[in-house]
Amino acid sequence: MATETEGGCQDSADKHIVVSGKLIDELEGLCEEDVFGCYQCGTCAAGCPFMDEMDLTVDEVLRYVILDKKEVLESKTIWLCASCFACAERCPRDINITKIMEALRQIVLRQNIDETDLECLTDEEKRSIPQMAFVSLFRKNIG
Amino acid sequence: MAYEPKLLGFLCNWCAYAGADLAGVSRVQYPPNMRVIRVMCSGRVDPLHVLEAFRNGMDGVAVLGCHPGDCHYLTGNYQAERKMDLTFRVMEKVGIDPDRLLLDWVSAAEGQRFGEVITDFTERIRELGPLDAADAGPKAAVGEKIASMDRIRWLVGKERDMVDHGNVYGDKLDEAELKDILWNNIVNEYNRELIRSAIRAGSPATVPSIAEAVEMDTATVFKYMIDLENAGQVHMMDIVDDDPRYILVGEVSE
Amino acid sequence: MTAENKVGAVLVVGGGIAGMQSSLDLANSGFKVYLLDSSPGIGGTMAQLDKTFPTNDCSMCIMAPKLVDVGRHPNIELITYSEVESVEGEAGDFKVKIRKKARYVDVEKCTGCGVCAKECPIDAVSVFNEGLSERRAIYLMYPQAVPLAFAIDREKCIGCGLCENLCLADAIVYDDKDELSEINVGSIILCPGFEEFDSDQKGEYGHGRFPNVVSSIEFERILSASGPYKSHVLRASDGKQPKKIAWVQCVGSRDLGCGADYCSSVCCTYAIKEAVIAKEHVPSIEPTIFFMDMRTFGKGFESYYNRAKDEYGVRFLRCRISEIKEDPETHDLTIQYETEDGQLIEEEFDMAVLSVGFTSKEDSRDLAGRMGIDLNERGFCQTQEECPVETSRDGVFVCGAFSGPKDIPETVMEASGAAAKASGLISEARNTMVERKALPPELDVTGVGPRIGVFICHCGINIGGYVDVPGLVDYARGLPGVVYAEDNLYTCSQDTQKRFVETIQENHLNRVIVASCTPRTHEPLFQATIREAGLNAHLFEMANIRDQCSWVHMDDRSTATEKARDLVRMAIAKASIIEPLPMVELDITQSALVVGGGLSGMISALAIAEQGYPVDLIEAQSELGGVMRRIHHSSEGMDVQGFLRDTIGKVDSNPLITVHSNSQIIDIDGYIGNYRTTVEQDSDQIEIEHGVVIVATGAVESKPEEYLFGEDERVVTQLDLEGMMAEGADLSGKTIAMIQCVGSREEHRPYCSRVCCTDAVKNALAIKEAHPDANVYVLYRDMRTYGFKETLYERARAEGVIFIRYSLDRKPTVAKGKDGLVVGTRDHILDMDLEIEADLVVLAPAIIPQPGNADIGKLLKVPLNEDGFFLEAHVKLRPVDFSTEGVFLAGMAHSPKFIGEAIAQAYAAASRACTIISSDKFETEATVSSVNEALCSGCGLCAAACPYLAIELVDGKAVVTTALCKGCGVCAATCRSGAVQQKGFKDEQILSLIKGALCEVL
Repeated sequence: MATETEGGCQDSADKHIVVSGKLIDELEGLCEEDVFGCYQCGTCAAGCPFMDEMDLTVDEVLRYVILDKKEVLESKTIWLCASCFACAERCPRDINITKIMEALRQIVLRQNIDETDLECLTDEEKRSIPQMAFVSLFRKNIG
Repeated sequence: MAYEPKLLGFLCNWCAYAGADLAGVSRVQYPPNMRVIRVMCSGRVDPLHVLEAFRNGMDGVAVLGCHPGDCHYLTGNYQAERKMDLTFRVMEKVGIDPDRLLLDWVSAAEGQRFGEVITDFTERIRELGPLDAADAGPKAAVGEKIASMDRIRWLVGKERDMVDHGNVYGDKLDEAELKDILWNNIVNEYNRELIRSAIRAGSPATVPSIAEAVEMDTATVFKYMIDLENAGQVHMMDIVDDDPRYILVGEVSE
Repeated sequence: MTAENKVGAVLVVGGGIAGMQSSLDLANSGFKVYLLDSSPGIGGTMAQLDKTFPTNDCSMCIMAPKLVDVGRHPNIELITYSEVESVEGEAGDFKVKIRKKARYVDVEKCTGCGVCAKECPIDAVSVFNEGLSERRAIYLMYPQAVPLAFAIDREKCIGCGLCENLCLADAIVYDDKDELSEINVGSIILCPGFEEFDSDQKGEYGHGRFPNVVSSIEFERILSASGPYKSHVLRASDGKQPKKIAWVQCVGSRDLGCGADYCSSVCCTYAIKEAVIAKEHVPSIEPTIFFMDMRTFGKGFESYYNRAKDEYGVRFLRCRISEIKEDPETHDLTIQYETEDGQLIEEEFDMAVLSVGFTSKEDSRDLAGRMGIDLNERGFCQTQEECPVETSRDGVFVCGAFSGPKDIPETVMEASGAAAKASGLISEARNTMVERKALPPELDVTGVGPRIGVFICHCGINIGGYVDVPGLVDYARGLPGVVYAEDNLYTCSQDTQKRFVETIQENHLNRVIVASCTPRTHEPLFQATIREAGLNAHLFEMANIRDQCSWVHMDDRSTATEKARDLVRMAIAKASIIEPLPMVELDITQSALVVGGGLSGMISALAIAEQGYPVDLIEAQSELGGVMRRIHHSSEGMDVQGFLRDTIGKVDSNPLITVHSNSQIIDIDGYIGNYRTTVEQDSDQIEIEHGVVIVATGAVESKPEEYLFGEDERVVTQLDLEGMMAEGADLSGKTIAMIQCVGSREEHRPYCSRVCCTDAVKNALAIKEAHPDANVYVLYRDMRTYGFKETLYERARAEGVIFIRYSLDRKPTVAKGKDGLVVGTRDHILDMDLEIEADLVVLAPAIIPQPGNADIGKLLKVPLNEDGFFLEAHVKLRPVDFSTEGVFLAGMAHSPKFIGEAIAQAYAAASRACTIISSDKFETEATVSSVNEALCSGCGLCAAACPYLAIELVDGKAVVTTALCKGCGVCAATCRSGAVQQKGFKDEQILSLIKGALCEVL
């Protein structure tokens, strides 16, 4: 089996997220998309409106899944996805990448890990972060 | 009446002639000065044909073939290129402006371009003006002599072989080097011809008298005399006042 | 169907390059051909192309001679602007109903002069120029069209009647109606071609909305010298020359969103070609090609790709484009793409070219329905690998892009291959439907002074309107040797031609001059006519006073007339010294020699035997079959060994085929039609006489020199793996790593071996199907599963095969680990090192030419390319011919290829061979060279200059092998002593033209 020898998500030491078995099995159970069909052509990344903010490009996310690298669940990208469906619309392999992103988020959410500790936020952060963001964050945690 | 250049065009059947036809079909208008000779391949055009045209009073000659790589006969246009290269050089040497000869490639699809090529060439020759027949005729005749020389035709004929495949020893020769050799041969042949005609004009002739007639230094003329004598073309008749006097061999003096 | 009932005629549907090639092969092998096209003229897509890769040949230049050949071939009947209504009957005897659409112009009468279109008041979009320019309602498809006849676009025509009024040939037929007719043929070939993907469907790329986004076929027209912009590269929004041009690949290919699960095979190479040509036109252009996998798998393509990168500076970016945006003010385009290291870049371009793929035509799908032909799910014609030119209906064959995307050489190969199959079926009926005109004996004109007749054509008003034709007639009459001169409204019209014969005979003319249009189209017609009058066809000269005089000097009647006088005078000067040129006929030994008993050699041998001619098949090994003996299953699911056994059985039992196994060729002597070959078998030598040679020596798998091959038995080749699997190796739960391009696409061996990607995918799938728990990794550089093979690649991915791309500067490593082998590579997307613990490493070694090719090449005097494969006469249009006549090429001796492709090429070689051996005589060119022995010094310059190796030195004298001479005349221009002369273009004849041009008095 392929193993990673260097590089990748640097802070993958985070042990909160535990996926037993293959990531792909869990993912396909959730979204039934053929991730392996991906050509790695880059269309999804080239057309993504939020690519500038993402730590992993869209095609990298898919590649992590194919190579069964669970650190993808730590990536910012899956949360920055706005579900605009541009990637799904343009994918030559007809893969609904938006659904894959949602499935990845679900995998994380189903772990019920509460990352939002209001206590840790500074007053400045509390002032500048829109209230709506907190609301949606809590909702996500409710599942 | 304004000067109208007399032009001759050798067009290969498959590309240039077809391009000229397309110019016609597309009604591309160009000057009417050129008379066309259709050959199957531009490689059929002998330098002698071009020089003969100049000798007979053409002001300009165009040889138009297929673009490199497009030749209907695989490599004919490369042959044409070499033969015209010789012609350019001979013209330069004998004193017919090489700009009066055009070698170019026109494809069957380039009707418009054919018109442009002919228009440009006609204008070019118009600017150069008429070729003075009395002057150019003998020059072209000398050129024909050079272009029919065995060794020169041999060099041109063998050039591709020697560059691409190797000479008799299997060595591949440098193209530029071969061109130099060719050029030297043309120069030498031309000078010999000048000397021959100088002797013809005032036989028997001495090295200084020849040198004066052909405007060369005596040392060079002398070298050529030795050369010509070895080739059996001139003969030292006698020596008068320490100056050897030479006559031509095999030519009846007029 | 009994042999007597078979009809010796073939219907070819589609007049593109495929249809033309099939027709010519068939017509030259003694069959009548009906060539049908739905357009008003033949030519197809190739006529629209500017240049063709990888040689950058001008498409029209290389195609035009074939167009003319088809147009004037006595055995080919053109049925243009027509559709097949129905096909009844069975193989060998079909009845085909044809609907000839109303054209409103009589093809027989129309001379193609174009006066009608010049004045027609109606503009319509030029379909030929892809809508980039306009034409009239009455139009000619393109200037070189065959037949050279106009048609009226009834949808646009307003019926004003002007064209009829202007047409002096009386060719306009306003009350024309669709006509139904029936023809009887023995077999049918379908080659209706393809349609370019409609890029408007990919809305995100803006075609149809943004003026500076064009499709690749539109860009071809832009590049073309006869295109809308006369070969200037301009953009539509402002007519400016663009600087930065982006090519977007896979538009309508490899895109499930457009229903295209296949690769269109040719777009990578044509995009490179367009980029290179654009750069040649305008060196300041900066071309960028956005691609997924660079699929330059064909012969010579990879080096073309390398040249584009390294010499032309074409930028290649591996990213598929999501959308193209436009600045509405400037109409400049913006493209966002991801670089290989994951950066997102936004870049401006002046122009974008969409590399559109192939789709099937609706018309062709309907045709298939009417004929009962199976289509595949993509709407292309269904074929089988065992015979890629056969359709599901017996007696109906297919070639070209109708059966799938393919390039021109593949198309031409299939076209000849289909011709072989179509004629093999009806070989008993050869020569039953072709007529030979009985001609009167040729008059002996030796010793008779010239009696020249001059015919000067008005060409309606095309000449007469700009040149004083009656004055020209008077002038000609006064020139020496001229005993007769007349003018004609149309010299080429049928009634004039009839009178022509009478006039020649009445006036005892022995030289004929026609002053009219171009000899390139009309000389054969006039020559045939004077031959009917009893004159040798070469006692003829033409003066082109239309295409190169009246049409190009329209504004000056007096100088145009003066030029016409000169041209006529030149022709007369030459006419008085032209001679009859005998048509030399050589005897042909009607049999073939096939070198190589692999699949291609056997298929060629069987196809020639099917045509009724004996074949000697030479094989170096003790067994037939070649490299195919090691292949067990094909990518298309064929039972390879079963097919091979079957084929060997057919060869062994065929009474016309003699197999010489364990044999070597010692010597080959002779030339087309007359070869004598010495073959050594077990130290016995025999001599074989034959008319043609097919070289099918095959290729071999190279022996890898890296990745521990030969050092560790767990490192094997793909062919080894096939053998292991055929023997039932258990790979369950194992990890298999495949490494591609082992020894291919590297500096020392730059070509792509074409089949390895598909082979790896095929074997990976076979492993996954047998052992779903096995892990398969494919380490590749570009996945080149072209055409419908793309679906295999898609399936392999779906089955969980993991594909990892590597680059040449970071090749994988293989090392021995604790248990297995450790394959190291770098993931191309994540840019991280990976280690694969593999139980088996499978290498895809390069396919290399047979080591013996050089010897065979020397014996046959045929060349090899720089890679050591045989070099065909022309990579586009003569893919199975050598420049040496009578020698042909099939299979992997040409270049690496798949089984189906090798089979198609093997049939093609057989077809080409039969065009020669199907006749017992061979007519040589008339304008060949000859040697005056008295003048020849035996220097050999002419022999060195001859492109066809037609001259040899025999006993110190040059000798022209007339059968090989193609009549270019290079030898004559090279000769030192004037000993070599080209008939019809002798020095004195050329000089007579020069003098004729200058001397007012001859």
